[in-house]
Amino acid sequence: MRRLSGQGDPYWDDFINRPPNDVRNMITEIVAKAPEGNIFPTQSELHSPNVTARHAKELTLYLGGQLVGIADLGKQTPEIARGYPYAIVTGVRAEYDPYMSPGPGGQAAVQAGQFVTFIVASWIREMGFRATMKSDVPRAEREHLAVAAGLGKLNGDGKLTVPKYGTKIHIADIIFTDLPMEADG
Amino acid sequence: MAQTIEWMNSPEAKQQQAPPGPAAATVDERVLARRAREAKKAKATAVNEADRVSTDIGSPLVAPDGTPRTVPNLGRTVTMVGMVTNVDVNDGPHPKNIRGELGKAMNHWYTKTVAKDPLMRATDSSHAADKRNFLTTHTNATSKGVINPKKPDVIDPKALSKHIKKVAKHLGADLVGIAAANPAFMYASGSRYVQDGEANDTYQSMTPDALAKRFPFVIQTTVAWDHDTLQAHRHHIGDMSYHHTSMKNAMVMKALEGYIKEMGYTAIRGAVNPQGAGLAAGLGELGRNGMMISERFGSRIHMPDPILTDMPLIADGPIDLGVEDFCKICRKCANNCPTNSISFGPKVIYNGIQKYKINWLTCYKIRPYVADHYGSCLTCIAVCPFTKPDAWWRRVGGKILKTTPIKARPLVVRALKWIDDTFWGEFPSRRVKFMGYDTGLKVGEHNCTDPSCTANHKEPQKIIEGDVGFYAPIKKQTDAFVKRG
Repeated sequence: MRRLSGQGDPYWDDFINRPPNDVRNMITEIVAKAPEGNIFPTQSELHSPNVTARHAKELTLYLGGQLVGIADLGKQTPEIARGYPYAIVTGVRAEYDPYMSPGPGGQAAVQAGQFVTFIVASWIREMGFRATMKSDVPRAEREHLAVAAGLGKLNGDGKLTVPKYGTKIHIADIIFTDLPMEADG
Repeated sequence: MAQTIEWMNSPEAKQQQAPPGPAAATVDERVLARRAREAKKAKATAVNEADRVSTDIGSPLVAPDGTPRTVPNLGRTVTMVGMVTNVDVNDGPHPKNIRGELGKAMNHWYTKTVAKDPLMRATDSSHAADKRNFLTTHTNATSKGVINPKKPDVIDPKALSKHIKKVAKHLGADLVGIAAANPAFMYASGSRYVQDGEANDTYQSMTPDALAKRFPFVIQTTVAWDHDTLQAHRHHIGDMSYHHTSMKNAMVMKALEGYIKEMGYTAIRGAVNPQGAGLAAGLGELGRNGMMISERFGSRIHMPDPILTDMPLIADGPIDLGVEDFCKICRKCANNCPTNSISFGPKVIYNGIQKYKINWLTCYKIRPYVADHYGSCLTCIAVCPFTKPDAWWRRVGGKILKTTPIKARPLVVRALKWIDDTFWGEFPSRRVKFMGYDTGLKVGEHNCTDPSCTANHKEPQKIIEGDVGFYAPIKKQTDAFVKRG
């Protein structure tokens, strides 16, 4: 995402902060409510888990993610793991905090994250493995998984900070999957 | 390192291709000679549907129904010189193919085949196993949101234009422009382009002329393709460069459409020709390869479905990058086109518009024959001298061409073309690796070239050396349906 200043723009504040009049005009709502496709019936021939993990990360970064890590859900509680062994955690730079800025501009980081995670989850399903992109995971849980995937640390306020972007990072929808991968620490 | 065709066929090159490596990408000398002769002729070749070029081109100042029209300024590369009959979007290649008008093989490939490659299945609409796994299925669905009844308190077209461009970039666009709507580049009445085929808006029965008056502005944006993966043209890696940006384009445009409605204005999709809007908005110029060529990204942009709106804006104008002067001399895309679909000759007048016209049918018809190896060829885009990384040296070259007086440009073009051929090759064929895909492998050969992979693959692992990619010698395939000169 670009650094664009709203200075001198009389419409910018509404773009960032005004909640939509009709949520169906929000691309983030359209994608969040999109039904998931089926899992391809034949599994693709896989590389070893370390290489598969690298390919998943390569695709995530190629599509526009700034950070990506893989969390081992075997070390998490069953409520967090949701029956999956791995979670792909993607971070996108957020100029505006999407939890504080409900306008279409404020949600731009969510949009950028959805673009990445939707395609990565679809790719895994098309390889014949289970993968689901969860939009309803609370912020605290997303950031907890981001720490588990080695993306950063929680600061004194309990917010995620990462080395390059500080707190200006949004953890996109988490992908829960059973694709055999090597998890990060 | 890029290599030329001459180098690839030299004894040194053949020696360097060690036995365990991929088979050499051979180029038929007779084809090269024939293409050189065709280039020398420099006149309309068999590709241009010349039989459809009418001698009486009519007046550009009237519509076929007699309605007076203004002539749009589309820059130096495209000129409206005669009467333009508005095109029905259902006469495009894909709708024709879906209706079975291009033959059984094409129809079967487009409507009934599922891609063998998982990445293709997730990023290519027509070959997905389940279309719900393809993002654009959802983002290009007809918008259900309503227009906000409350418009902004202050309506300043200058500030709104600046704002909407900033918004598009914030939402992910790389280029954005505003065109004055003109009926000449709008689709015929009742004809709308949308992904899910549910095109319905209350203005659908209006003629293009009435629509352009009611909605005076068109907003066009685009997202640039990744340069490095595009170098793997005629390969699934190159497909990824194209497909994922098309998906992003659709997402950005849908977000922008929703925001315009939230601001209280109408946003109509599927009514305007994307390239016409892009030219009038100054996003680029039209090249010999039939693609838009932009200042920063060259040919590696694809025009998405633009937004027609009644938001009060200020329109941009077309730009002059020197594409007109470059394409007249270069012909690199025509030389490299595997199906001879790109003309070596001058522009033609087609439907009242003077431009370089490709033979879309031969370009399109190759696809079922190569579907296991790639989806879209992209060679004309990858080899275009304008298609380079957005680096300082590329910007310097572009600025020199742009600022040179038109009469002196042929000299600059020849110099830039020589530099391009020398450093990037006459037939750029780089080896590209991406997510385990490798253009160094012979097409159709499955082999893991990652030394850190310990998986027990079905086929034995081989070491492939060298930095020249393998490019399918597709002459045999194209000879099945293309009559060469």
